[in-house]
Amino acid sequence: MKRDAIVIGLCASLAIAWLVHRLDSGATQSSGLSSTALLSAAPENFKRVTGPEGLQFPSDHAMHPGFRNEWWYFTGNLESPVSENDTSKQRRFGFQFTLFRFALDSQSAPSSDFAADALWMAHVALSDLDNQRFYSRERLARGALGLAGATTRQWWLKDWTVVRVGDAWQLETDAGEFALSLILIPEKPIIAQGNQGYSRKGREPGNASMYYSISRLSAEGRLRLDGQTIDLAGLAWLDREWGSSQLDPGLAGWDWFALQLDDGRDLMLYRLRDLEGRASAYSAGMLVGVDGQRNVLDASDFQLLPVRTWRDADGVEWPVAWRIEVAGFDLSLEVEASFDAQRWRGLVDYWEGAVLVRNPGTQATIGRGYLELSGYSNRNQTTVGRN
Amino acid sequence: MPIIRLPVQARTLRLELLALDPFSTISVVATSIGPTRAGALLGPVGDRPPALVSQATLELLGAEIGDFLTLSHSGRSFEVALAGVVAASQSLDRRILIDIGQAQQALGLNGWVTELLAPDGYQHWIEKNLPKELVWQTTEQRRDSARQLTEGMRANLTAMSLLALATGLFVVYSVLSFLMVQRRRMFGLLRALGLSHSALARMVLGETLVLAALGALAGLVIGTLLADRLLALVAAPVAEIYGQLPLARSSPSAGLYAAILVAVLLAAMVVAVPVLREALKIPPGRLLRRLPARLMPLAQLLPLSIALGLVSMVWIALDDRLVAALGGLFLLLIGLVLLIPPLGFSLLGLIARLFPGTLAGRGLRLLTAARKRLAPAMAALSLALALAMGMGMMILGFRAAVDQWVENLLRADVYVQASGGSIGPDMINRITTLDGVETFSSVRSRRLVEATQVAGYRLPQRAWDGFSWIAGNPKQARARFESGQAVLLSEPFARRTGLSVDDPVSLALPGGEKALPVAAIFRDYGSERGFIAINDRLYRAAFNDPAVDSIGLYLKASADAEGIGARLQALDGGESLVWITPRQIREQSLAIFDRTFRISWALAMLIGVIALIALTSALLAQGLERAREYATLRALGLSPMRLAGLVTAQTAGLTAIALILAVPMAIIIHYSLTLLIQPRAFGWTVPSSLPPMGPILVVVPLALLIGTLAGLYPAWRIAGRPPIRYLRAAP
Repeated sequence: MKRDAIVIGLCASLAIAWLVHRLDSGATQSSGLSSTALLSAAPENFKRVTGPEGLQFPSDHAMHPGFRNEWWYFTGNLESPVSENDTSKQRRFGFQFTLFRFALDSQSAPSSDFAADALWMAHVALSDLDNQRFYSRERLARGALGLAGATTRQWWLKDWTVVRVGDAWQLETDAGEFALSLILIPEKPIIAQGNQGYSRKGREPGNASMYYSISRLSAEGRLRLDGQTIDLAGLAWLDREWGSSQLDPGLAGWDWFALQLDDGRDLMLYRLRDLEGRASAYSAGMLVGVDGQRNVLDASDFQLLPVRTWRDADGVEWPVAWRIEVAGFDLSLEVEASFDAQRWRGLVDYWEGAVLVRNPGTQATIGRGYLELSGYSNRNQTTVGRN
Repeated sequence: MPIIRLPVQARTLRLELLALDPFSTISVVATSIGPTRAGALLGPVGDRPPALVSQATLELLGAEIGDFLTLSHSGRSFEVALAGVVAASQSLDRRILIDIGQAQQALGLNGWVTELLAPDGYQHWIEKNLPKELVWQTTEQRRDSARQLTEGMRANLTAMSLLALATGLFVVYSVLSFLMVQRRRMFGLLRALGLSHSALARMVLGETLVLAALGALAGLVIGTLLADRLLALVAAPVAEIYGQLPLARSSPSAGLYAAILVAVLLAAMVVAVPVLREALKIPPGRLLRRLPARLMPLAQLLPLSIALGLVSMVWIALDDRLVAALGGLFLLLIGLVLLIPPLGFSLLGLIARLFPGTLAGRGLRLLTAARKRLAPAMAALSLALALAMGMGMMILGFRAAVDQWVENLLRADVYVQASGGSIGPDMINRITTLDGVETFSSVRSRRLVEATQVAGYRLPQRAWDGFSWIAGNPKQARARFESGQAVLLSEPFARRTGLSVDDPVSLALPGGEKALPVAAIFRDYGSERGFIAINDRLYRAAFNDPAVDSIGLYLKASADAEGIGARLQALDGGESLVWITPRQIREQSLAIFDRTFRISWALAMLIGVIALIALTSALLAQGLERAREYATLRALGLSPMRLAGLVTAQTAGLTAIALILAVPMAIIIHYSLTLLIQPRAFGWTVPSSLPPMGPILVVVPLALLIGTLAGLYPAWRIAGRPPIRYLRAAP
């Protein structure tokens, strides 16, 4: 009798379990954009960067079809004007605007107006430094019908646009929750990274990209946030890079710094990490002098030491505070996130946020900048960004 | 967001090709399928467009990721590569997702889309900036019209399911009373030991609840599995007739499961009440088998039955909705079912008298003593058989009507269509001037803004003669139609709108509203929504559209249909023209028809099976109750074999009685379905005729055979009992 009851109970539980399983959950699944393939291995038919070819302007501002990937990257720190008697009302923000282009293996459906040669992605993010809030918005478009593109005059994805006006750029993005409108005027010349723009990232000569920056632009404009319009001014940084299969396959990710020091110098450093977390010999940097002098740094010229990590809700540890030593230039810096929670929660996993630069001795703030951390989350080992 | 949405045929399945830009509304598509997959859609695999499907669709196709799949759409076919599975909800079932650029390329239709999805609030912009011919529709409206379209079908299936439930209740009753009879002795003892009435009632209701819950659980599992199979049966007709895509699997909700569970428990409690009343009447400690009370006599039931019949007729007469017809039929059936036990047992007595002295005769007479126990089973069996036969008759009758209609209508020798959809004026001219063509008919359909379908007909006399007229004088109607002064209506359209001959119909033509009187109404089984027919000259003038959808060629007596095929092929090099003979159309129509009604056959079978279970359990109960009598027969020298034969004769006899009563009921059901339900559900009438006898000829021997087989189990149980034990249990 007891055994019967157990058997019946088991059958009933099985039936219930099956019915519950069978309910229409309507669940949808989403996976992140794994761009390892896009950044490390490109099919044969793509062009490769194999040596210094020099840069030409304005033509190199436009997109470079034939290469696997390319990006246009603005970051910066902005402040509202100080009112004479009340400094407490000053607001400070970090911003990022990025346009990515991923070329497709072959042009899809050539006999259609929808034929796309590339997939475009735009990221815009705003860090409200006082309230420690991070806003981000992502857009995708096919490279067809003029939905997205980059010419010498204009870079755009739908109505997010960057228009070149003389030597300056006018940035317009409306992300719904916030909208940013900025005029960006270069204060320093275009800096060719690496060897005349040839930035080698791995053992193979083809593991490289073309890379140039404008390390200091004055930024001025307006932000709309929470129904308020705030006038802002500050400094921005432009990074431009293109190539195919620039990543060495053994790399886990990178840490990238773009720092603008109060003494007028700008420092770019990147550390490529292998799967064990060691810095690759192809890590590099550039110290830009007050007047735009280039000082190329290779891996042996600087040291990067993570000091503190931040654990996000997924349990991923992000190194958000660093100690930097550039012995040859007598630079010793502490870099720390203006606030920790600046992780991108889009299709791509990375941390990109505003940082403060301090003097390790006096703890006085001596600069600001942006930090990018990639390859820390387990979801996808390698993510999109510069390297 | 631009979209191409097309019906396509892939292997044996009808799918919907959904071509879109996966990145144009990132929130909708790219996030639900994942950007990697969305990106993968853009680049071709080899030179085939990559396609995404849901897991369920993949299983339906019997394909695997990486396979190539040939899709065909109106004669044009192309291959896609199955690139991945979309883990989306069932909204993508039976759909195949590809990139819009790839679709335009594969279909050779650059710049062509079937629809645009616009966000809320863009209606004004669309009306201002896009061509006037565009029809816009909210998602809500689209869902509504899909719902309306399948309303008739759903109502019919719901009614069938309710009938299955009602038959099921008879089974529950039989089983419960079987359990009660089996433990009569125990109940008596328990009562003698001091178990109160209320404690006994709690016990009986408690175990009923547990049993019902377990049964419901099993039923839900089997029902869900069955639903998936039945879904496969309706999938093809739903796609063919309504242009709607059914899900790949049934999608039950927790609410539905809960509602069924509660309904079953309630129904079981209701059915348990009479059984409980009987159990409570068992006197404590007495083992006397009280004979169940007598059945209500026919004289008392007849007025009730007649009253129910009258109510149903009044309801049907006053309310012209489908639900009234279904409800009325339900009431009428209840009334008829009430009469079955008294009539059945009178018949049983009569038959028993026909075989005096034989074992069968005795067996049957024994049954009349157990009428109360057997009455529900007999009623259920009779109802189920009547439903099966009645539905079968309706389906066959309707099939014959459709067959007749198609055969009458298709008078041309060959029908020509273009795989691209329409035949342009130049091609029309070349086709109709081919050697041997005497005259031709043509049709061009178009949907007006408010979803009314209009067909422009060119109808020579020979084509006109194929129509079957429901209202209007055909001769006068032809003159008025040809002059462009009047329109024709298909029967479902006339019924849906309530229009009759000479009523004005207003047509929203591009040049403005135009009102024309109805000249005649013709029979049509082609569309439940119905349509308005106008003559081709009026159509061309109104819509400025010289193309046609299809052409019927009427050949000279001397010309041969085979030769015309070759000449048509020569016209366009076999590129786009498709021709088909009336016989092929007829075969295809009937094939669609048969697929449509497969589910009705399946449901009818199901009800029959449930009724047979009721019969078996009723006989088991009766056998237990009569155990002492059977034991006496054994003691008197009846061998177990002979006893088994006796019990089998009883089931066979009961089935025969149920059949005799079911046949007239089946004819009533046939006529109600044909004359009442069909017009209300689908909008068309079926010409009246004698009921087809096929189903009776099939069901009668089949039911007798199965009924006899169903008696074997009780026969084996009853014959196997040691007689001495049952003899000893004397009062």
